[in-house]
Amino acid sequence: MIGMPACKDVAQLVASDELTRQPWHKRLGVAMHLLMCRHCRAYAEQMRAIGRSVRDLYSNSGAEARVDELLEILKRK
Amino acid sequence: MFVSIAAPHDVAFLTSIRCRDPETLERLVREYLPQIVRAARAAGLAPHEADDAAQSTFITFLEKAETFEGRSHVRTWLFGILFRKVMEMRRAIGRDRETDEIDDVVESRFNANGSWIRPPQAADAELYARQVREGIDDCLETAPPKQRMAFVLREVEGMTTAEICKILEVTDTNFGVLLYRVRNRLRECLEAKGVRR
Repeated sequence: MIGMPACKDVAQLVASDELTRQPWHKRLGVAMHLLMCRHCRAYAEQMRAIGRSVRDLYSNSGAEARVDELLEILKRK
Repeated sequence: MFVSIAAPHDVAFLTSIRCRDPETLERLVREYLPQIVRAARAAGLAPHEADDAAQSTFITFLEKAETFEGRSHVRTWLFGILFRKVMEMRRAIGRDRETDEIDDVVESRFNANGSWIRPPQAADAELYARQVREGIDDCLETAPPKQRMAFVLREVEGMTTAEICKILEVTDTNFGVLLYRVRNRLRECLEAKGVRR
């Protein structure tokens, strides 16, 4: 069915990453809704900002992983 | 940089791993240990716990190499082992709930027509980003381990839905529910801390 989704539907599709799996007319409806609804735009932008923040927070974790120590352990196994 | 480590059905790689070929093992560890440690940290383990979980993941991988049939990418298999270890360490096995209080919290933001009653507050994007950075650590702690892992695999590791579903052993729909819940939980937690956009 072609029509504009409600804010709640937009929020659900944005937060669950299910938008890309929707048919074209639904994606178009969401895109139009986002153009017109500042609340949903704020919501979507907050979700993106949270993702970016967590990505940045852990981007260097693991760089100091103890590769040689693990290789020694695995050799003995 | 080398390429193409252990794509599915890579028979030569599987044989090398089963024979414990030192060069293959080294490639495997150099390529994936940093990623596994990073994911373990992002999943909420303390630094020493993350190191232990990562080492233990590779040891289990080697012990079970005989049963690895190459039907999925070796990375998927490694992350699947890590996921189960994180769940054990956070004592989260069997606590996969059907209902979650966050659903009611989100529901209460909309009226019967599905329009916002309590919308997100609009404010400066840079300020919001800074406030998120300050509050996100505490808020991540409120997320159940499986939701947090789903979030980490998508946002930190940038994996596809198909790969994450294999790692967490969930359907596409279940994965969507995990993401929806964890993202709303984080957003609500940040908003409760006074972080408004």
